[in-house]
Amino acid sequence: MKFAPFIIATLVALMLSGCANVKPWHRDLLAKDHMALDSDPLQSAFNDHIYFSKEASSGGRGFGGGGCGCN
Amino acid sequence: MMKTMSNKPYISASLALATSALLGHSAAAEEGWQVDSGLLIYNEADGRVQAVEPVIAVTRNFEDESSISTRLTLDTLSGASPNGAAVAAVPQTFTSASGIARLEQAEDDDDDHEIEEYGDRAYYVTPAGDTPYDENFEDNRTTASVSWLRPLNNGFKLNLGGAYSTEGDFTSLSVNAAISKDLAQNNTTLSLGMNLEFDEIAPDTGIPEPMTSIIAAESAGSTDTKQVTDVVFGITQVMTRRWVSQLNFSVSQSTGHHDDPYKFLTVADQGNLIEDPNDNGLTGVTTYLYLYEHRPEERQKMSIYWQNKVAIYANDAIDISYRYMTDDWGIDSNTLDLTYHLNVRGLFYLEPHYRFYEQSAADFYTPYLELGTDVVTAGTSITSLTEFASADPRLGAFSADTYGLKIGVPFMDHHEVSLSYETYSQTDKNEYKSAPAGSDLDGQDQFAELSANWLQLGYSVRW
Repeated sequence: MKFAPFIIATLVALMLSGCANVKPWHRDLLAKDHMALDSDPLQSAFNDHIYFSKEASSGGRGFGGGGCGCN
Repeated sequence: MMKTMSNKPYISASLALATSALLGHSAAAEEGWQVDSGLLIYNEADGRVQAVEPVIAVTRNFEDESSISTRLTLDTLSGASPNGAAVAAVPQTFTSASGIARLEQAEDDDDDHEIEEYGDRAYYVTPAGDTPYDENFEDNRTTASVSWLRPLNNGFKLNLGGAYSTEGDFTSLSVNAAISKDLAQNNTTLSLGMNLEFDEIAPDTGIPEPMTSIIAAESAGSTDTKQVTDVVFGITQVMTRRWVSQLNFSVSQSTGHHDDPYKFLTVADQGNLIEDPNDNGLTGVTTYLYLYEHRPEERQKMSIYWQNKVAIYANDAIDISYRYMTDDWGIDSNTLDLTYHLNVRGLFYLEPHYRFYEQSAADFYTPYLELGTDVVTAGTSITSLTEFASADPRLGAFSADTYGLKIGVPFMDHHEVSLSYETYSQTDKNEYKSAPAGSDLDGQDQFAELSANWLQLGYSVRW
């Protein structure tokens, strides 16, 4: 993954430079429950566990963890 | 048992927790209690794993925006799991170490019911042309976790957590800490988290000596351990009034026992199965040669995760995320996840979901070993010429599609029920080894594609 530093730098720059300064009173839409980045943590945990058990990847959203030796 | 639905303390959401408060979500901001409960009913095709998993989480939010959450998860698992042996044109007989252990225990306990139940499972036969499964698989798992979020001075927040998971042959303990900092009038949040995990594996029949015959394997001890360190750095950014974005960069270092003690590999000679020179005639039929798998004791992973959530109209939203992961076992993966939140007249919502996943194979993944190049035998002595090898499908190359639909119904202000259904199917992407025409392995599947579906029920209440 020799392009990783470049991709990361680009995304970080995009995120930090592309931001408009959204005032707190303009966050009506973003404050809704369904706009939470993880709007259903239990469902996310169920799904993460299933994929962790069946695939060789884990984590990303949060910690990957190690789980058992079989993965 | 750990072999199929492996163990994972449910800590993955803790970093997201640290950033949810900046957007003013009511769940994070209002003082009071929140209880979330769920039930997962998981079902794999072809009689593979079935699981039922209830979970309950209780969160107490305090006036100072601190909170404490606890979560308890139970798992009941049963079914069949590929044992790693290759599909062949002849019937194959396997001794099941766990079956023998259970039979011996039942005989010690003089339990007639269990003697009958396990008597014919001490060894099992896979018909010609079928994927070899170990059907002797059932276990119960319990996981408990706790998380404490506390605001500090100057826009910092601290999140501390821990998790404990236990089942028949596996125990896991983890602790984690994350710190986040809100910047630019809460438009930006930087977070840094670390998780330390300590695992112990203790199979019924001990840890098998890797790359040795399954009927002659000596025990390499009754238990072994593994330690995992994860570090996650994240940026959450409000991009516009309708768009919030999160970028996480993660590294993970795992050291210790990575072998699956229930998985092994076929050894073939010119595509034909060969008799194990250690066969003692216990099963009354020919027992072919299979060696326990072996994986490196170190694994480093790195991933980039980018999530975007965009509000559509007044009450809808698109959630799109992408993850790239790479590790030093040779596995690269791409994951794309797409969900649309559709509010229907303020009465309920629908969330259609699609996920695409693909991974390359580990360097040491192989559908079977070959006599002469990978393994040599002399009398009853068997020597592996390759240090690491596994036929575990989870380490093979495949892609997978998930389609899902969720319906959620909020009612009486602070209650919500939800139901979701997901269907998952893998597609084999491995390069096949060619076996000589007419041999036992000629023309046989070399990868067990998995199909599964699951139903999730949820109920949440806040007060």
